[in-house]
Amino acid sequence: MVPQEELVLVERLKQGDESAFQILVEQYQDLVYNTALGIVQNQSDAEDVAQEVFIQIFRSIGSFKSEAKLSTWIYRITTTRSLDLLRVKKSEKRFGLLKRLWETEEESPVENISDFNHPGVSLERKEEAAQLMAAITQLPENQKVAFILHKLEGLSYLEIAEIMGNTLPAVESLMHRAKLNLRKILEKKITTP
Amino acid sequence: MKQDITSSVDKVLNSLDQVKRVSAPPYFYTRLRTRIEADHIRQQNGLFFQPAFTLLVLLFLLVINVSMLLNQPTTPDQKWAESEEQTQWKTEYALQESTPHQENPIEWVVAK
Repeated sequence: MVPQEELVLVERLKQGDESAFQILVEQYQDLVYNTALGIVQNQSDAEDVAQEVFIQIFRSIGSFKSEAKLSTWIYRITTTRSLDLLRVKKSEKRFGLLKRLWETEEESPVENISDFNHPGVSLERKEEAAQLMAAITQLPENQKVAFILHKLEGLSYLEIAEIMGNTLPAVESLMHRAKLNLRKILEKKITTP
Repeated sequence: MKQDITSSVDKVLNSLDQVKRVSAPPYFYTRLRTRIEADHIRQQNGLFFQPAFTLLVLLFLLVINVSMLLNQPTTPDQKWAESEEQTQWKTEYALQESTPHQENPIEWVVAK
């Protein structure tokens, strides 16, 4: 059941009300930024994604059907945009490797190897969380999204299923496989330092 | 040993359990508005550099050229009017082909 306030906000957005857009951004900016940050693991990229998400909402609110929850739609846009950015970065990295073959040693930039420290993690868990975030980058896309939404946004499997357009058993299976894969990656890392 | 590894892995896997939601950076909305406006301006100016726009301009120039060619005067009257005009112009600027006086001045005097 979609709350009445949300329906009114969506209606105002559809009419091009700028103050409604500001309310929407202030209401959902943390949700979007936090989700994007979990997936892209870089603060400036996450802000970039968050901006793109709101621009897309601003442009395509007309196509939003009020049967679904606004947050579900926003989560869906955020995860899609974040994965798009990761794909672009991956292809840039591949192109960068090719480019480096023609570059001299002086021209070649220094590789930026840094573990991502999630700002929401307490100090005593920082090291372990950095290892986990690094392992998450190796997961397949759908497992990554399900795991991030569950762990960082605290969503239930049912909510994740709605966002990903899957059934509940499918999400349960995704999460199970994600945990198994993470365990394998982490065990490998611990045994081969 | 195996137990140690399992407990270490469990510790890592549970490290995000009490994670706090991160807030968006300050002035996020202001920066977002600036970007939307910049995108809007870029889209407006970008029209002149769009391949479709360039193609349209080229097509327009081509149509003008072809229409000019097709609208050339073809009737004898038009041609006559043009040659009259050309003769007058040549006379005025002394560009006429040689006159009988210029070709053979003696014969011209005798004949006179």
